Amino acid sequence: MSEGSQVDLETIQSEALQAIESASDASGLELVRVGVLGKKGSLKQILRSLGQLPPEQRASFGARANVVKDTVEAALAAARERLGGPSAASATSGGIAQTDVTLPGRVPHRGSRHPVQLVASRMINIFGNLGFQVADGPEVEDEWHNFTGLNIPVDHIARDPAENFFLEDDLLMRSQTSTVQVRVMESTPPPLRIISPGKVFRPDTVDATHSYMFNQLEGLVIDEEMNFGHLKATLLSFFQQLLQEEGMKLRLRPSFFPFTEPSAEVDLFWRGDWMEMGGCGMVDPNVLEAVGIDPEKWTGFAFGLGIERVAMASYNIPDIRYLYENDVRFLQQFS
Amino acid sequence: MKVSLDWLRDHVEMDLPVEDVAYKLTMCGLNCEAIEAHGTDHVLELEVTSNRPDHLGHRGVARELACILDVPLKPLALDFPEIAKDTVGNALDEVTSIEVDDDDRCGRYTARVAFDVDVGASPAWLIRRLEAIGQRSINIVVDLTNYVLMDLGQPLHAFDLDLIEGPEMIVRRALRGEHFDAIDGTELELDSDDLVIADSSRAVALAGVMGGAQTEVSGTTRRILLESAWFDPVPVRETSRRLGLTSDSSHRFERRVDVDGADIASRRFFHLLCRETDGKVLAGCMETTRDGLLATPPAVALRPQRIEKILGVAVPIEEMNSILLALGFERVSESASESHWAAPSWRADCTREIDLIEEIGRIYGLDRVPDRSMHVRVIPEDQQALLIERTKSLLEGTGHHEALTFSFGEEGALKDLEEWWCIGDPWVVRNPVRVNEGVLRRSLLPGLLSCVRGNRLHGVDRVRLFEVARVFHRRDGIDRPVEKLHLAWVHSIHDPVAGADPCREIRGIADAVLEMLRLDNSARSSMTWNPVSGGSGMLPETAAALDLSSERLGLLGAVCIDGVSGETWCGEMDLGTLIDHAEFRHRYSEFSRYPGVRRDLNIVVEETVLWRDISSEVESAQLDHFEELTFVDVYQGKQVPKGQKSVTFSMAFRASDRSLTREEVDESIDGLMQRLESRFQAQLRT
Repeated sequence: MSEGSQVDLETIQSEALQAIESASDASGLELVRVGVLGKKGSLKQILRSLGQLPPEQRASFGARANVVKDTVEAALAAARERLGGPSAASATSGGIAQTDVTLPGRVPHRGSRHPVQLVASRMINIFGNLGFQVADGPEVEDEWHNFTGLNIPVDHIARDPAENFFLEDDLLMRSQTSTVQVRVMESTPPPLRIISPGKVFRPDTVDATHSYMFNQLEGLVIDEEMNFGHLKATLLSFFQQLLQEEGMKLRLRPSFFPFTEPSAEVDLFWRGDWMEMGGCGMVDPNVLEAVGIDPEKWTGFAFGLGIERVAMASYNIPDIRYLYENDVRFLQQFS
Repeated sequence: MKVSLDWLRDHVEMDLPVEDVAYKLTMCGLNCEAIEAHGTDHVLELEVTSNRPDHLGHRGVARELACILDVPLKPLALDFPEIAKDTVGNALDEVTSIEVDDDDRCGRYTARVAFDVDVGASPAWLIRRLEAIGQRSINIVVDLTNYVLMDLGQPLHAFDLDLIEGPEMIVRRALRGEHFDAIDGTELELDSDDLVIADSSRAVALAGVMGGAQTEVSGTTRRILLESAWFDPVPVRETSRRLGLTSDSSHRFERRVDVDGADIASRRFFHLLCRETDGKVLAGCMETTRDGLLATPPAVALRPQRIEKILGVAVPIEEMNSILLALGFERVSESASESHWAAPSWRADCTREIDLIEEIGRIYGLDRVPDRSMHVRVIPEDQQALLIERTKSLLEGTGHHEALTFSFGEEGALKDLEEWWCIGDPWVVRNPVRVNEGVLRRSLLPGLLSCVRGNRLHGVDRVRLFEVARVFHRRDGIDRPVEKLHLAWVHSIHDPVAGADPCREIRGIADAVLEMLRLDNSARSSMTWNPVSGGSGMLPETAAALDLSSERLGLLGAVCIDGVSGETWCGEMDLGTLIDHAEFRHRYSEFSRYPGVRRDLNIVVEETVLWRDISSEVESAQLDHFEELTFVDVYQGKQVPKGQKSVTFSMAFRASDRSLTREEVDESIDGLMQRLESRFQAQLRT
């Protein structure tokens, strides 16, 4: 340690002198001064380690350090003379003649998260707190997972080629995230409590509220004693957490989906209006049977919520198309 | 569907404000989207779900209300006088007959005939009803067909019997290319998949979709033939779609009308015709019905404890019974543990216990079901999601805005970039609606770069975007797309600042991500960045690839975007595969608390020598106490000979047990210089 410290003192002095010599202006000198003699300068740092030395070496090390300090100060003064810079007095006050300390800061570039992803993350977190695990499924699906396994009969209008983006054979861009329900139930025995956020695709005419690609968050619970009351309470807890606003109301309005029964639309009364947020219901026994789960023993519920809808409502975004333009002036509002 | 409140009152006695009616209907599954005043009447815009064709008529909606309000549905008058022979002495079977050639598509066809019909204007009540729901009055016969359709949901069609050629009505497939003039004025060319009603010489109606112009009922019509039929839903939908022709009839047939409804609607029409005109009805009905169509479906068992298991509430037996009875279900048998129910003919959707439970639930009121909490469940931490989240945070923290682009797009100018990632053909949408929906992306960059272009053309001078999303690759032997999670990032600047090095900035993002992921040793040691000579879509001499053995994991470079000035640099990595190699754990390892020595080295080499090779040479020298190698600068210019460059790098040395001396390090440096000299002819720059 002692030997190393001595070596470092040497280095500090020689490097400082060299830097002083090559400095071409006062601010260059000031940098050297701060770097060596300043509060966090190299000399101060090394003096701080004095206590770690054996007592008998402290005195000589301290003396040597003072020599280095004096030498550097003298060299600085000489250099200032040479460069005709500001006096030592002004140097101690910062070396810069006039500093407007009220100038705005230099802000590093800040990025942002897409509003749809911001909302999706919040939704995932809230459902996570309710014990829902995220499950993933492919964006390209087959007819079995997109329709048949979901109790959508062969002649159902939802299967019409004009209502879907079909690829080769029986492959298509999934039209709903419910496909993941089927995949999870095929591979994992109940009980299940999952959500699956992701993109879905429907050849809708694009307007302020429709896009041919949008994001859904699907939820599925299968357990031994699950009924409609659990579905209601789950969605209510979720929206209470999501919106955290007084006066929010939720209603489940009877509706029809092939894969749930009873089925309901999820309506949210928020800021004075009822809005459709998605669909839900008790998992249809045919869906359970299709994946070999006994519907007499197991019951469950499922729901699908539109993520764009929540994002648009949360952030007052009037047109769904803004979400996919990726205009920086739009995106940076969410930083 | 538009529903008139006064019209509903024709079927059910009620004294409720319109808002209450709307709310009650909404909460039993008939969502009321709007209420409009129409004179003293109100019109509700109801959203009818595809499983409930019975709601496509006022009586079906009224039945729902009667059930909710617990009041009876008024009976429907169907009687009318029948006359055995017409004015010239012909009975029904002498004026017409029915032949159904295709009973797969036409399950039931009924025809009745009236004569001496005076086709005049409709009475005021009829006009009022039709106008309330936005229909125009035409004449009494046409208006009554429309009225019955909107009342009972059963489409009817009246032909001018005197314009029908030959007595026989034939239900057959159209001939390929057969011509048909629809009643709305469109001229159609039919296909052999279409079903028509024909007389002896031509098609007079497109089954289930629209009647023909040539046999239309008009003011001069005296004899009418009324068709009331049941057509199979799917072919009607297909014909309607192919021809781009929809009607109130096709809308109902394709949702499956009540199989029993054909005769009831026909009777209702003639009841009203006889009530409102002097027309006379020939006795009897010509009818053909497919075997089994009218068969009663098996009764459905219903267990009260199952209702409670699904709904979470014990609905009293009496309430359950009265709901089902009011909806038209018939109790076939009953025991202590279950009852058996036959669904009415208009409820083909109710074939299982769960269907009955839904009926009970929605009428009982889903809002009456008490909330139930689920038991607590702890979920395992999802490390992949955590790493994706950290990657996004890193990009966000370095000034990038997250973008959301489409999973498919147009095969465009950046095809090379897509093919660099996947040589196999792209997956293609078979029936794209727009050109930009054609091809599933193999790379995220084309979509992201098109957003960059949009931004730059809109005057945003500096654009930093990133996206984490899936791409779709084709692999031999796999019959569906391989979906891979990619990360892409872009930096486009109108006016690059002097001294800024966007190439290294783009690379820096990649390095930061790789460092953050803490890749396993085998991946780290066999992963290299290599120059890409061509065919990557990047500008020449700008592209670098991240290779793991022969696997392509990343691509960086500059691109030229049409119409966009300045510089655009971008990068893309196979984030999913990288995460597979991530060793996600933090673990403390001992570090030396002794001071080390840092040495800068400035060497001159041929300009073609790559940093990749210099650095790997330094690493492989395994110098004593070597800790870290840092690139400092590369310089080409007056100070070094042409064709050469000077490369400055800094090396840190540190011992774990003592302070290092410069002399110890000097030895290592001398050895290293010898290696660099023999490998690259490197010289120390003086």
